[in-house]
Amino acid sequence: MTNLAHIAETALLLLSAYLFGCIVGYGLRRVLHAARGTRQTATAPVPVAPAVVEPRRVPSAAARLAARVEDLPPSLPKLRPATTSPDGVVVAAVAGVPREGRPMQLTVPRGGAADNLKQIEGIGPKIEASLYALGIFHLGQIAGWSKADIAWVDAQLAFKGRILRERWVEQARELSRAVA
Amino acid sequence: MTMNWTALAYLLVAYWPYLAGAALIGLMVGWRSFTPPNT
Repeated sequence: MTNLAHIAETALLLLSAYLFGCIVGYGLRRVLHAARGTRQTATAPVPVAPAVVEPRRVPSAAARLAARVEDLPPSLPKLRPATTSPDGVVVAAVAGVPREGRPMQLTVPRGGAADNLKQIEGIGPKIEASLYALGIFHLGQIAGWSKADIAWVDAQLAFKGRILRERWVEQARELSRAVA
Repeated sequence: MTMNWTALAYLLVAYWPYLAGAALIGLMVGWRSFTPPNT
C-alpha cells in the first residue's frame, strides 16, 4: 500500500466516523425531543364538544380566535374546555388550531398590574419584557397555552423549544394554583 | 476494487482514539444542528 493510499484511507475513515457521529447526534436529539413532546401531549386536556365557547363571556382576543377556527375545514379544529383564570376571564377557549394559532394577548395587564413572570424558572428580566411586549402579562395566560400557542411564542422570540424544555406552562399552572 | 478488510481492521485498531474523537465532534455537531419543529 502506498503512503498516499494509506493517508486517503485514514482520512476517509475519520470522515465516516464524523458523519456517523453527526447522524447519531441529530437522531438522538430528535428522538429525545419527540419523547418529551409525547409526554406533553399525554398531560394535555382531552378534547370535548365545541359548546364551551360562549361568545357573551369571551373577550375579544378569544372571540377572534374562535372566529378563525370556524373558518377552518371541519377536520382541523379541536376544541377543549375553556381555561378560566381566577377572575373569571376565559384564558384560552380553543386549542389545536394549526400553526397560525396565537395565544391570548392583552393590550394592558388585567387590573393594571402585570404578574411577575420571573417566578417561572428560565424567565429573566429580558424575556419578561419581551413577553409583556407580546401582550402576555399573567401567569394564567401562560398556563392556558396550547401547543400551537407555545409554537407561536417560540417562533416570535426565537427560543428553539425553550418553553417546552423549561416547562413554562407547567410552572405557570403550579404558580397560578399556588396563588389561587 | 475489492475491500482490503485486513487493512481496514488495522486502521480501526490503530486509530480508534482519533475515530472516537471524530465521532464525538460529529455527535456534537449533529446534536446542535437539530432545531425543534414549530408544532
